[in-house]
Amino acid sequence: MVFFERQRSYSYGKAIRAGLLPDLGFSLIEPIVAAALTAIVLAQIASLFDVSRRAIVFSNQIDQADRDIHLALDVTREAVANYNWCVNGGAVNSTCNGVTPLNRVAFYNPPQANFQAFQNACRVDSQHQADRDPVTRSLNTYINNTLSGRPIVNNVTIRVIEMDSKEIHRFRTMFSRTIETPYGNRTLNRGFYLIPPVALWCP
Amino acid sequence: MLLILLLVLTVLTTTMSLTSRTTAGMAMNSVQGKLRLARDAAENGLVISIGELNKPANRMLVGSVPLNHWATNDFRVRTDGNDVTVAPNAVIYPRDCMIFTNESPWNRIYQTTEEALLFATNNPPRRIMRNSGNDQYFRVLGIKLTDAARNPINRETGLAANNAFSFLTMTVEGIYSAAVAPTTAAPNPINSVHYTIQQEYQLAPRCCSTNRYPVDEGNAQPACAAAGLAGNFKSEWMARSISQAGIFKTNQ
Repeated sequence: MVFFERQRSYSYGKAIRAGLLPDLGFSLIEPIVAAALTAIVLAQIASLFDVSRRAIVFSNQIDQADRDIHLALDVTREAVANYNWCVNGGAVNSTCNGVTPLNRVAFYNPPQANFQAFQNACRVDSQHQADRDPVTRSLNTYINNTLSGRPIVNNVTIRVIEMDSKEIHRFRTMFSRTIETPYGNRTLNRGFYLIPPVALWCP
Repeated sequence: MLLILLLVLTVLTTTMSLTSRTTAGMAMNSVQGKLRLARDAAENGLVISIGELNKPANRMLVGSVPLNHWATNDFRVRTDGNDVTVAPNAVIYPRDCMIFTNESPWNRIYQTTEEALLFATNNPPRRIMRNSGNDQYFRVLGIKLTDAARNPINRETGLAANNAFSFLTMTVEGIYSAAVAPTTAAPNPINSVHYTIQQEYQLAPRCCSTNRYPVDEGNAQPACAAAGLAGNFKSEWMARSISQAGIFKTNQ
């Protein structure tokens, strides 16, 4: 207190000596300046909090979009793994008397007629296009018409770009998820490769 | 005056710490995103690389050429009655086994690929960097073979068995680097993010041109003997992921 009084008496020495102003208290300008400074500091802190909050929200949304894409990837891998050739042309979730390409202690043994058709399909040159490959054409259709953009894959868009390696019938795909963020709409894209196990049976 | 200074300092340090916290949070968010991209690059690298070994041309390597000789151009394999030196574009796949010859040249898909041959090398500068797009890269750090009991198979002389399962372990490094592209010679550019995955695959032998795996049925004969095929027919090996789902699957 001594410190403040000394300061004020230095600034307003004459007025105090004349008895026109009290010894203690602030002038009008001081609380206004203090309030303004406090307001500026608080506003800055608040803006920092806001920046931080938006960053957290954005981070969470990107995390969720990434999880959506990986869920879609798992669902798609499951479909790819269950794609079988027990009917001519192949189908997802079809069974050959309970035998699938994934059976560990089993072998892929479709009826002889279907096996011949399968071998013939393996011989066709797909020219790197999934929809031209008789072995996996139905799988390509399934991904486009049953999975892509549907709730089962959290509305993730799945696009088969090409069959980039026809020797092993490998699909190059793009998974996309668009989300609204505090910074506008963002689209998360992830490229993945898929190899249908049934295609490995191609002799 | 001292009190005012202290107050100002307090406000300043609080503001600075808040700014620092916010910036760190945003930076971590960015790093996490990059790490995810690096992980995806590694996953893709694994699918691409194991797929390379499953290409018809490379299916016979694990059981025909010891790992240390994949890339040395000094190992010979008997094919169609002749000795073929193992090298990029050489054909060690027997003519009788080929069912797809509508290519130019006619045996294109049966030519051993350099990509596969370089997987086995222990020489780090030859761990080739591959670009999978979107600033994502991967490289195979190495492969190793183990037998049915998971004992190591000798890299200098050992081969995968043709009458039993073997296992192949592949290690792939995924890299995300936006600023500077990593290269085979300089794989760690500044600010690049790396993620390594190791995966074990089951190697199941079968006789070429057939679609049955005798070992799946408990048959302990060599694959071609089990299939009743002799002459130029040879065994080939398919790498199958343990979960068997899409060759590689995250949730099992």
